[in-house]
Amino acid sequence: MTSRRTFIKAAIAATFVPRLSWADAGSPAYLGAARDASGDYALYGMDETAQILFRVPLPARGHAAAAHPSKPEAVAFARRPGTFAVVVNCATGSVTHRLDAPQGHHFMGHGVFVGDGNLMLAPENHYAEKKGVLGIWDRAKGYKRVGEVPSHGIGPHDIRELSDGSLVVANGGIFTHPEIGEGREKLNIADMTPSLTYLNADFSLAEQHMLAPELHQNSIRHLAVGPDDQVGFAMQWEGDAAEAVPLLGLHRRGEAVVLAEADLAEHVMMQGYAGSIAFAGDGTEVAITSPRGGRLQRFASDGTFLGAVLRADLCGLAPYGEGYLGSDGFGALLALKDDMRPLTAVPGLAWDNHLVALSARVA
Amino acid sequence: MRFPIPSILGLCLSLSITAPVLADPVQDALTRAVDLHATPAVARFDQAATALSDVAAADCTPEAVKPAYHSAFDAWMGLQHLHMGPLETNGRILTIAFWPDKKGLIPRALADMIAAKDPVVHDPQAFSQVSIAARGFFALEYMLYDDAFADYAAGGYSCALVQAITHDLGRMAQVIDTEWTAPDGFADTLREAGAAAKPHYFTPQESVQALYTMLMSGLEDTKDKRIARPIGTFDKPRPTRAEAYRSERSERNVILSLSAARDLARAMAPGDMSASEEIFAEVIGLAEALDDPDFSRVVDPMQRLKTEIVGQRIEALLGALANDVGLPLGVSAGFNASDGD
Repeated sequence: MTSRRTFIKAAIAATFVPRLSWADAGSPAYLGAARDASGDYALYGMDETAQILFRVPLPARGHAAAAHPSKPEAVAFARRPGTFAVVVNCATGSVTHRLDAPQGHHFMGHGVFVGDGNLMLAPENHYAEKKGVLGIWDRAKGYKRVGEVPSHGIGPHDIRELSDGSLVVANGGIFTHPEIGEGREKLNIADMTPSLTYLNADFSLAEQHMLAPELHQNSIRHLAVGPDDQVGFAMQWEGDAAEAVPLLGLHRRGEAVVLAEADLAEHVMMQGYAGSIAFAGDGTEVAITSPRGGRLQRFASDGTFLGAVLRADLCGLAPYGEGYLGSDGFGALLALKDDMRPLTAVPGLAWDNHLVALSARVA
Repeated sequence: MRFPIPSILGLCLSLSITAPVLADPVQDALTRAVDLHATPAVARFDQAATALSDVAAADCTPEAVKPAYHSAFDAWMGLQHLHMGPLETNGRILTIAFWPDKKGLIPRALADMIAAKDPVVHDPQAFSQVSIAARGFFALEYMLYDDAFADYAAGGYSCALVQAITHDLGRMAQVIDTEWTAPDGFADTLREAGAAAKPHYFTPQESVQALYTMLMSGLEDTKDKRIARPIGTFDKPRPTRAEAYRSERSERNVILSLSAARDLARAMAPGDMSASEEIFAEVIGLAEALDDPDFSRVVDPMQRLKTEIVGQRIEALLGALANDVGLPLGVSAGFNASDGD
């Protein structure tokens, strides 16, 4: 198997080369978590043509990962309400550290390295105090959790860094508790208040946006950062799906939020659920996926609807070429823009919600 | 292979008795689902919608149009679960059947057109571009059954509007039929998968997966929308949230959607599906016994419970179908669609 050969070669290389770079991991371009045919979970690395380079087993279902900016290292997060994350050496395939959320907290499935990559921030649900925090983990100290800061909202989910070192956080607004409904039951739908929150590089609150009152049940969940630090956010509607609300927001610091609207039929077809978001590789547009609606919706960076591509269970999304790389629950990795083209198909492999591009910021 | 090197005698016997079993079950399910289930449903809808358009063109008054409306809606129920190909193009499914209309867009759109005497009704091409709220079965249902709209005579604006809606329905049904059955059309795309001239599914397994998803999500829709919306909560049943209650089709649509699902399941199942058959028969029987065409009686706690039980048995049916259809074909519900984050 290619992946095993790659592992062995990389492992041998590792013996002689003390400082590894992403090249030692076969220069993967994407990471994605998946469940395989035998029911096991793993993190996969893919090259720039979406061919699988390596596979690293995970102890349970993963969600997304944070890739180190220069070292072949990724932190793969358990799915909510998981309390573990693992640091994977993508060159050797070994798990080098295990991160455990503190008592009374669990991870939210996402995280991000900031600055030169020494600190990694991971949103946590501090359910004991019913608030969202960002755990701060220090790589130089062996991934020790060195502190936490408030996320300024309940249910922080995704987090990204902007070019000036400031941070954008999607506070989904939904409170869950690991002891209720396996930690996935939504406990405050009636008065949830999601927010798009910016923090300065020193983690102080910089800017915060709430949705209009009639959209307060639109959970702001996933983020993508495009050219000139334009932020795209994908939402999941907790109200009646028949209301067909917008599921994509676009924003730049200091400006007003733009909610992107498609025609009525397209809105209804999304079934109130956007699973992932990414800017296109050429940076000119942004897209959201709905695995329930079986479609990708593309929008110009001003929010104009450009079109939809239909594919059942499509969820994971990342920039690819001039367009997008998408993944589905049936083992396919697809090139998407005006239409779709299959790149890799592994029968029995169910790609989980997200694809992580190793160059997270679009040029 | 299921039969490792059978003896010559065994091979002869199995060939003579069970020859069809040797076919590829996935390709077989695909061919049967397309040829025996989907394509005939597409043709029936085309015929019925064309008839509706013809009837309304001859006499647009409600009493004249109603029987053809019901026939066409019946035919649509044999097809409406197939969210794929020509049915999905340009949002056709929603245009044909825009429900639920949570914001009350349909009566508003119709009232606006009528008040303005919008000439768009005289231009079929232009009418095909108006809001989906003013088109399809549910707009037509308002025009034929709702007191605020149904009081119109031949020759007036509302008459022309009804003719425009029915013509538009007939046109869409015809386009769906053509795009489905034409050479290299969607039927071929489904059946031939990766080898198709216009591939959308890259393997036969993917085509079967898509059809299986339609089977299951169609039943889920019936449970979560056609039944769950009108029954509401115990304290607050919502009969006016029932599908097509104005034309008293709420119960009928539940029954027809179940029948269509059974037809598709039978086409796909590679072997015994007696467990599913048993629940299909039970749940269709329960739905028929409701004897509540517009679900108005869900305000009665006993009747509400009976209606709720239909939904619960559909839930059980989903499990049986996963065993009888999904498992032997190697397909299951979408990983991301069924459990998001």
